[in-house]
Amino acid sequence: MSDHPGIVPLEETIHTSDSNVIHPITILRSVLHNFWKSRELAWLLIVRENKQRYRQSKFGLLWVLITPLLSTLIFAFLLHKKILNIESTEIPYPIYVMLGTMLWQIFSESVTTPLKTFNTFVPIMIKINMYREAPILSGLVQVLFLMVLQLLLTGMLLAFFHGISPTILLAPLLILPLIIFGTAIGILLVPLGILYKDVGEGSNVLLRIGFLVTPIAYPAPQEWPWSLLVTLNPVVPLLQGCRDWMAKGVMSDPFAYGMTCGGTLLILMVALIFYHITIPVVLERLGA
Amino acid sequence: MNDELVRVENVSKKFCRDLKRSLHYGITDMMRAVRGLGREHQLRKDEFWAIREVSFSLKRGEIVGIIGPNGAGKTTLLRLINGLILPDQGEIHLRGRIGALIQLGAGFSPILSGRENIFVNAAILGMSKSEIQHKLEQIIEFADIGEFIDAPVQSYSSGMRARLGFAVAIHMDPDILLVDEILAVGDMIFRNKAMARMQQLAQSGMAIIFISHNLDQVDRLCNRAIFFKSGQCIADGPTRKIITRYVAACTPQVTGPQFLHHPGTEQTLWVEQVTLHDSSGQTIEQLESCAPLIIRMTFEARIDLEAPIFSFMIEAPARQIIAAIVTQNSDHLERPSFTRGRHVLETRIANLSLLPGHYTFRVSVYKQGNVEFLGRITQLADLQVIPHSKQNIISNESVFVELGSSWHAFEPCHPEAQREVKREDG
Repeated sequence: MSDHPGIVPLEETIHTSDSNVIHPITILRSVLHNFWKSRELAWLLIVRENKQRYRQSKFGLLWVLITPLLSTLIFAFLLHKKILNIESTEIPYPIYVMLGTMLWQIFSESVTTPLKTFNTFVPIMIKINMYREAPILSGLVQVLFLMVLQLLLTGMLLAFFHGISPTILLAPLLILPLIIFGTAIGILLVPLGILYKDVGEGSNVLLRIGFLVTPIAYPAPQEWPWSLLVTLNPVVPLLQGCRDWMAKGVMSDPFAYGMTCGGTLLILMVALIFYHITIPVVLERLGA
Repeated sequence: MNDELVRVENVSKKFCRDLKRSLHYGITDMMRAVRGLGREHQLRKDEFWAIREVSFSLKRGEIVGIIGPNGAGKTTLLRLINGLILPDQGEIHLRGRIGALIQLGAGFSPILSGRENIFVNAAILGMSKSEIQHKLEQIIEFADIGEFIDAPVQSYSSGMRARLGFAVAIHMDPDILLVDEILAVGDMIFRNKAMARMQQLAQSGMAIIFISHNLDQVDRLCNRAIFFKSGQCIADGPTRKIITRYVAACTPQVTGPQFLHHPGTEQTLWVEQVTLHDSSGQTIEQLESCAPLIIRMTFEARIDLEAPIFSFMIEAPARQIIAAIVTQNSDHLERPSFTRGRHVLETRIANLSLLPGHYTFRVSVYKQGNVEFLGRITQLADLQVIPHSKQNIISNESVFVELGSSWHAFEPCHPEAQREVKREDG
């Protein structure tokens, strides 16, 4: 390197006022390249985040499990005492709700994580030129981590109360499209979200409403116009598909699931290109 | 071989004064970018040019000091070169790895230990894990903060943070190093070590851009300087020359000397005129190195001054005082007393052994005996020292005074070399 000038050709960089939009494929390729290059950094950032979070904590990782565990216990208690009363579902109702809630939690976490992680790195990113894809990658890994923990917990509960088949081992793979769909939306929100806090607040409100209008705690409505809630909601096929698979070992509507997966991939590509183009422009508005 | 590592071509950058509008422009720019358009070249409402049509280039081994008043755009320029912000006009071409110390310890997590932070910080700066592991010991050794390396960074002093941050950055082996005013918090040991290291790195082929308000540091470290003002590159050239220019620009009146009376001084004495003369008595503004100089000061004593001590001092371009002549130490003049009223005081320097450059004079007055400070007047006169016919200029060194000397050379066994050095006055 600096000891052998001329022998190793130096990497050239050009900063220009011209737009960085060249060709979608070129951009995608450089996004993937950056993801690959920032893998070690993303990992270190996750380790740092978690060390920071748990160094000032006695219970550490337990906190991730305590919330879903408690809510399930309370929920089981309510049902047992007949305080809750809901018409029967194909899958036993408690299992239906528990799986639905868990899947929705994973989805909503995927939507909010990119902006949240990005915001924690803004102070660093405006001072150090690091890979701008690193926060996204580190956020994604954290969501995956959350998913694994949730799955372990749910798997244990399922095995205890409902019974599981080996097909459940495929569950992580089937939840992946749900996470990717959420993440793609989350990535699309980042550029605007770091400029205006309204985006973060607004998406939280929408996610809460989304929880209510998605058939999570009630069976999917069949009659028009309420059936629109299901047909127009892209989360439903992904969520239903996973829930069916985990509880029954089969999917009731694999076609819808597959179509939505295809759409998800498309949205992800658009989101990554949009992110790559706009982040440098937006980031400099945040000053030093 | 192409030695040029940085080329800044006609670069301009605008900022917006109003935050809300700035965010709005952010969205407009974002949409432009998506549509594949470049930057908006015109100024919009509330915008101003933070950097305006700046061009320069930087070669291997160069250490360029960037000096200028606050808000001149120095840090903005570094951020542009670092790619943190993109130019609105122009292009920046870079060759090689860039290391930037724009904000020390950006990315340090207060709760993690110094050692853990080295890993994170180095990774943020772009080092791979194996590279970091390989250099960990060197980094810790350079930072030299002892056992604190395993303590959380929140217990560090700002100087210790600076040490750690600097140690990580230079071990990235960058080809281009950007340093923004970071030595200010370090102690003397660290500062000297950092400066020595930067010099050594430049010699091995690195290009360094160094921003500092400490002109003395710039003078010692840099072999070139750029004077920045209002987002523009005002002057670019040899360090000493540019510093002189900057100091002159910072002085409220650019032409000629002006007397800045130290607060409270007006009650004791008031300087009316100071003139410099050569041996023939001619008034001068420039003088050959090592020629005799006469300083004549006309002043009004506003109280009775009984045998006061006058001390003329000579200031170098960066305002360091490098030499003094004191009435007390003069053999030839019996120190006079001054009654209230106007007087003329003259002093003669047999040979002014200053090296070529630009110098200014100041005077301080003390009461006799208890040496109580009576007053000080700065910027009495400017003097340009030019080389005499036989003089070789020592350039790029922080030297102002050349002492008169005679030189001899012998073989080690020569009787002259064995002999004790004779006392000159003996």
